[in-house]
Amino acid sequence: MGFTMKFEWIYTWNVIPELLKGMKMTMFIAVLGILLGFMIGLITGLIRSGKHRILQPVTGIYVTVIRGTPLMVQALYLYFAIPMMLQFNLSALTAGILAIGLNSGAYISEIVRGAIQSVDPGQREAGECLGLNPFQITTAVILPQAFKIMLPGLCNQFIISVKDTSLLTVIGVAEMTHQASRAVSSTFRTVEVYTALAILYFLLNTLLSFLLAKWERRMK
Amino acid sequence: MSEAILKIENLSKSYGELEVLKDMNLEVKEGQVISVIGPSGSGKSTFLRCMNLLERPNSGTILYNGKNVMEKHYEKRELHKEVGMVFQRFNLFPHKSVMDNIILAPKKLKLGSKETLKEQALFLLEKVGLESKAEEMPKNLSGGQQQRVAIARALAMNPKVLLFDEPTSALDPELVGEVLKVMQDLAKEGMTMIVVTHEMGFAREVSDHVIFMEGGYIVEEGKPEEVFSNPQNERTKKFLSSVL
Repeated sequence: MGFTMKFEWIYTWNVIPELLKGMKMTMFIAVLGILLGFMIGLITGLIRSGKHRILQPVTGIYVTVIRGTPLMVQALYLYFAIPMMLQFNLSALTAGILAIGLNSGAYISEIVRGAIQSVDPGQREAGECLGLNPFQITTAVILPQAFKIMLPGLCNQFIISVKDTSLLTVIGVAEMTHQASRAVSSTFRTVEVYTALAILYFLLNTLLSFLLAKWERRMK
Repeated sequence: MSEAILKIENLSKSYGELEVLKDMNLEVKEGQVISVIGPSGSGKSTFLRCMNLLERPNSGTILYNGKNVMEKHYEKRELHKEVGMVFQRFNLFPHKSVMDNIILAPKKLKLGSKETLKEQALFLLEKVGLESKAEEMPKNLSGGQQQRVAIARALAMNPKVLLFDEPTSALDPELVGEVLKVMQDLAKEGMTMIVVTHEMGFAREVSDHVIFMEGGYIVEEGKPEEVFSNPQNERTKKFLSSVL
């Protein structure tokens, strides 16, 4: 059966306000998620570049598990499986932010670890020889230098996380992809709506890349 | 004679199978300037780095003011507050200005108010001839200037002993003199110094005691005029004839 419709831009245009609402949610989740991810990544990255007997392997397992499973599965697990096992409720939004946070945290952990390891070991020695304690050396000497090295990786991870939020549609978070799917089911204008969706993601990420690159230059 | 401020007994260090220091002994008295010379790979730097526990010796004792710093529960930060170090590659903090490099540690360790510390830093900068560079970033300074800042930074902790790990080896030849001059001034003021160096002129003119190391051993030691003018050991003779 041949069921074709002529592409009509007006549908692409008309769906945009609805998608922009989703974009707000997308950005909300991405920003909170990456902030959470940065905190997790910073702490676990610091632990992983140290030598703690218990914490070091534990954080290693965290990174391995997250990197070894898809984000969509992590979101499903957080939203459905864990609340069911532990008998509590979690909103889709919270689960979504947690999923992005835990997921990006593992990658940021590696970014942080790599950056810390690439700071000249002489810097730590200089701090040590001045009588500073390990915490002071880390916060005043190592991290400010490591942060500059992390920047490109962090910016990159932010863009990745923005795009990753689209996977949260499986747990019903009203982000942009979810809004698009809903629009498709009410208008049946699959091609027009998804075209609008792709264009909006593209514009959003291009703009973010531009802004992040500018910020990165300023920080250097 | 005064008591030794630093006393090293039977110190050895190995990396796996490789023994880099064998049965080292050294006594450092207050105000003494000791130069450690010898070919590359002879263990000079490792010896120096063992003295302030940047490298952990495998055996032996290090007594600082009579206290064994190799004991298990000794807090090595206490040693670092009194035994400063100047590195071959300066190791200034690149993200901090000259002033902040100098006051960072004293500020963190609450050794004085910010104003007092800044005043002291300016005094030290004047001493190394860099009072006009307080607000510069390290990368805008020449190697010789950076090393002088590093010396000022170490002095800001009011160390009792200063260790120098080849302080002029990373410098362009024309910048060596300015750093040696600062070190010479310190020696005159009575700072206790242990200097690993390739500058034979400095070792000969400024130090009270010279140690010649090779293959992880102290091959010969003594007053500079003895070691330089009348070396007893064949290896010392060979080394000196190749560098002088």
